[in-house]
Amino acid sequence: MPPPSQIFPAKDLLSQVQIGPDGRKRKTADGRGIDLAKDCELLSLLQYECHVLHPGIRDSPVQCWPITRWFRRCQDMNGRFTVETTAWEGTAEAASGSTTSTPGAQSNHQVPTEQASKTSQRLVTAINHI
Amino acid sequence: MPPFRPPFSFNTIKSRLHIRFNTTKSSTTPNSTTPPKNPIFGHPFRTLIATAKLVAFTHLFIQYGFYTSPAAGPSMLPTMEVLGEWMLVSKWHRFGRGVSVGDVVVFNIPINDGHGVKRVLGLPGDYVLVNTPHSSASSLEEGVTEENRGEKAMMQIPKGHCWLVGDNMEASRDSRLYGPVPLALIRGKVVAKVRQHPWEFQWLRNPLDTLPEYSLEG
Repeated sequence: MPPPSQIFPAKDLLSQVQIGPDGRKRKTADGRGIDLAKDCELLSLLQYECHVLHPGIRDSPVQCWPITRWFRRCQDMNGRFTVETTAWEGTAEAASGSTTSTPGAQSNHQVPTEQASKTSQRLVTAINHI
Repeated sequence: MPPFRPPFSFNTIKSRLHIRFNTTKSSTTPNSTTPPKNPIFGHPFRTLIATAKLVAFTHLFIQYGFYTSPAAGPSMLPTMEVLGEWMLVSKWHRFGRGVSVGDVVVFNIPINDGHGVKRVLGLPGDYVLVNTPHSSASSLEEGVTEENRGEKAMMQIPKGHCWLVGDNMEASRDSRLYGPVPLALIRGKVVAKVRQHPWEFQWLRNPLDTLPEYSLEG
């Protein structure tokens, strides 16, 4: 069984990210805290929501709708770690975090949400299977 | 002057080269009663030893190298089909060694005896969404927001654990059901898949490794 873990809302991500898995503050090369928007590389991964189109019909096609999951890959003194920012990108918390640390970087956060909505409106796959 | 004697007699050459002739003379000799030496069946234990070596080498290869296994189930659609696909699993990545976020792994399911195939979304110290983010195709019911549906709940993966989620989130029982999975339950990493024919072999790429970096200037 995994040890009990704390669940926190995505709006607290900026403060939670400063703490490592050992419960101590993360150390960075320049001594500053982790800035998700400025220091961390933005990555994405597609997962899907698949539905059988006509469940009553044999060999009915399956349609999969994409769900874009966004990640930030950050670095501290112990190495790299990944932060899922799907629920954080484009929010007021992300915008306020970036304005305090990187002035003018607010537009960065608008990009993934636009991209996500474009991608998710597009039907990706229709699979015929048994 | 003594007669010329070659260094090896004909009999010596015959014995050195293991050449035997079926002659009436030789059949009467006591040596001819032993069966001819065969490279496979000549020694009584040779076959046994060769079989044991082959079994040991195969076991070593499967245990620490690679193995193939059929994949079944809808939880990894559309990455892996429901039926009829085989996967090549690297055992070097057992216990989560060298596994990174975005890889597909085979693991022992913590709540039953089976084994599953899921994608790694978080490693020790990483942060993940606990629940399912929904696509824009699924509309929220009236009065239900993303907040109270729990879509924005997050957690940090504890030490020695990982977060596994199937690609088809509608039909997958994974870490969203049973929480972080111990890295020690990972049997290996899926490096390739093959359908019915060998030429349908396809390497599985990690989308986080090969996706071009998103342009922040865009």
